[in-house]
Parts: sequence; structure tokens; C-alpha cells
Amino acid sequence: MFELDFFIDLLFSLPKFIPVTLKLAFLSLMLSLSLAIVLAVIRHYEVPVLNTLTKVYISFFRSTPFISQLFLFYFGLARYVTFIRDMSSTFALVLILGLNTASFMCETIRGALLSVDKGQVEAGHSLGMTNLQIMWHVILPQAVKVAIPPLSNNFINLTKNTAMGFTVGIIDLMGKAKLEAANSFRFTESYLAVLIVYWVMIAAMTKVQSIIEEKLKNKY
Amino acid sequence: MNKTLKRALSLMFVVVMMASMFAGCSAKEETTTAATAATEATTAATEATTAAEPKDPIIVACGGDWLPYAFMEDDKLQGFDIDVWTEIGVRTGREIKFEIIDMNGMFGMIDADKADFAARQITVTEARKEKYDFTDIYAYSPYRITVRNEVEDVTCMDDLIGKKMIYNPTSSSGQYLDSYDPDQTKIERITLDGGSAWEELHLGRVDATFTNYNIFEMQRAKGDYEVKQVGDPVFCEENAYPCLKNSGREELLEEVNAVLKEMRADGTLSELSIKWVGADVTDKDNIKIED
Repeated sequence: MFELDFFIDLLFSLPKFIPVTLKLAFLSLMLSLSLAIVLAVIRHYEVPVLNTLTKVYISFFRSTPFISQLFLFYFGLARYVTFIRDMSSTFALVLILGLNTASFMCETIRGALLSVDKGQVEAGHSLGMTNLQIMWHVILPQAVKVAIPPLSNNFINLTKNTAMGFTVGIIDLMGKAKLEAANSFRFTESYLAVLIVYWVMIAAMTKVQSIIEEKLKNKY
Repeated sequence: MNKTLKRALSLMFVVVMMASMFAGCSAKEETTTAATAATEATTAATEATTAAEPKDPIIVACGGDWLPYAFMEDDKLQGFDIDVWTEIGVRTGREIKFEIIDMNGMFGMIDADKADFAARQITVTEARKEKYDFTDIYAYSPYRITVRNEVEDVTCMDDLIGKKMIYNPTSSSGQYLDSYDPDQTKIERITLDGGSAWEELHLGRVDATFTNYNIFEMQRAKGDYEVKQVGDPVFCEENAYPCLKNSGREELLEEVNAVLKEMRADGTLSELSIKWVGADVTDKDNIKIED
């Protein structure tokens, strides 16, 4: 039956894989967030040509399963592109996960940009500000506040998507749990332990989110 | 619970987690050092045999989840396949690099040229032979029908007509079911992907599966499953290590095969088989089926 000793051992040995998962998540976040901001601005101002390309990009990454994107890139294209073949699995996962999440974050940020009243833009123009100045000084500071809750949703999803790492050979939290489950034939204990570790880890992240929200609340 | 106590408790949990995280980090370094030491030993052996020029390493993608062929225990990769490859490394004078990867990604690693061979009690199947070159066969695995303990009326495939079987479509069981029931009219097939056939059978979600006779008891006991093998073996797997066809590995394959032959001849292969599987499964005729 449920082996408490095994479960507790695992509960305390799994956290040493948190750094692997966090590293993947953090690097992907950096990539996706910076890309998403650029894409959202392109979408917001409907920059010719780039806007169409961005739409195709977003449509592709939002409408196809992440695992198929990862496998096509890491295993499929690797046959034809030496640079992908020689790429580390960590780099590949971060890249695809970053590109994938950027498509969701872009829409989140675009929504936040839209939430700022047009009147403020007109007011900015009347003061002789350029579009970029209005974006930087007027729209962004307000949009950030609106964007934080949905962005952290995106970030949480991203963090959980790193669990796909083991399919390309990264032994992260999920990979370790899968190995433990398969080798011990103790599925209940292994998956329960990994769930708890993910839960605590992401609950801690959410805590950071509410601190940031609290800080922003007092502005504007 | 009052707020201070709650805070104290959550703080404590975070501290414990952080502590084990850091403890984990240093433990990891130790294993790495151990691994490096092992590699150094291999490299030393390499240098002894080929002092002139170091040969390319062989990259082996393996599951890390398959008892007793390639599994993890105490954070260490071990098993029959692992020992065979380590020995191949010593005898060819090449370093062996093991890449642990999910089952789904194992063949992907070979396809993508990221690994030379794969190892996880892999079966030679007709479909796989079209795409991969296999080394010489190093083990035989007879498969038997496996049902729950209370089932009394199943002893052969025909007894399973109309019932549910869980199987891996790309392995030997898929190949066998395709020949036994090509139109898929006799047996309802449930595809296994990522889960465990043992769990599914034990829980009663399926009626039967195939399991490897050689390692049945070892795996069954580990999970405490209330299942049994019945009847004669329905098919026998031939296990070998695949590499990608037409990928310039012909010479490497010959080199590995020569070593496998040597290991078979001097008894090393049988020895490793007995060490891990508990019986000599390297020769088909040695396997005696007993209930």
C-alpha cells in the first residue's frame, strides 16, 4: 500500500531538482517576455508587414500543441540543420518554450495596452509627445498594472510546461519523478510528491506576484 | 490557526525546501565527481589501448526507467544494458556517454543524430529494421500473457477474444498482435503511452497484457501487483541496440558487433545477464519456462 517512507524521502529529495526547473522557467520567461513586448507593440500600432507576420506567428504557436513544436524542432529539424543538432536540450527547450509562451503573452500585453484610454494618447499628442514617448511614459506604466495578473498566469503555465523537459532528456522535477515512479513502480507516491513540490513552488511564485501587485497598487 | 502561526509554518516549510535544495546541489556535485572519476577510469583504459589518438565517444540514449536493463537507483544509472555498454567502451577504447531520456525521445535522439545507439531492452522489429541497423542480438525475452490473479479461464490468445489488452504498438507486442489479429476484430487494443501496463492491469482497466518472462517476478514484486503470467510464451523478443541506417555508422556497428561477439564467447555477456536478470538470457535455448 501507500509507502509513507518512500513518499517522504521523495518529498525531500525532489526539491534539489527545483533549480533545474526554475532555471528553465526563468530563461524562457526572459525570452518570452521581451519578445512578447515587441510583438504586442507591433500589433498595437499595426506596423505594416510585421503585423501580418506577427499574426501568423501567434496563430501558429497558440494553435499547435507544445510537444509537437518541441519534437519537430529538436528531433525533426535536427536532421537537416547542424546548428539544431548540436544544440543542447536545455537551449532547445528554453527557445521553443519561450517562443510558444511569447504568443500567449503578446495577446495578454496587447489587451493591457488597449485598456489604457485613447483620450490619454490624444492628450499626449496634444503635448507634442511622440508615439514612443506616449508608449513609454503614459501607456506602459498603466498597462503593466493591468497585465501582471494575466502575465503571471502565462508564467505559471510556462513553468509547468518545463515538465516536458524529460522528453528531450532534461532531468528536471518531472523527469526525476517519472524516473522514480517507473523504477519503483510506486506511482501514487511519486506523482503525489511531485505535485506537492510544484504546488509549493508555484504558490511561492504567486506570493511574489501579489507583492508586486501590492507595490503597483499605490501608483497612479 | 492564527496568522503568526500560519506565517511561521509556511516560513518553516520554505526554509526546509531551500535547505534540501542546497543540500541537493552539493549532493549532485558529488555524484558528478563520482561520474567523472568513472569516466576518468574509462579514459585511462582508453589511453592504455590507444595511446596514439583518442577515438570518438559513443553516445547511448537510454531510458533510465527500465528495471533491470537501464534504471536509476540512488541517482546512479545502472543495469544490464549499462554494464554491456560500459564493457563495450572498455574493449573498444571509446568513452561511453549515456543520455537518459524519456521513452518517447529515445528513438528521436538517434533520428536526430544526437545519439549513436539506444539501449532499453529494445526489440528488433520488422518496422524498426527498415529505419535502423541493429547490433547482434544480445538477449532473448520470451513474452507471456499476463492477467490478474483471480482470472482462471485464460491460457492462450484465443481465450482473450473480445477482451481488452494494453500494449505498446511500436514494440514486439504490437508486431505480434498485428500478425495474430491483423483486422483488429478479435481483441480490443488499448495503446500504452507513458503510463504503466502493470498499473492498468492491476487496477482492472484492461484484461491482459504481455510481460517479459525473464523479469516478470522482479518487476511484479517491486510494484506488489496482483497479476500472473499464464500459458506458453506467445512470442520471443530479440533484443539488440539500434543505430540510424545510412548515417555513416557502418564501421562503428562492426566494431561494436566484434566486441559483442567476443563478450559472448568469453562468457562476459552471460555473466552480466546473470548478475542483472538473474538468469542467462543471452542464449534462447537456456531459457526454461517454469511457473
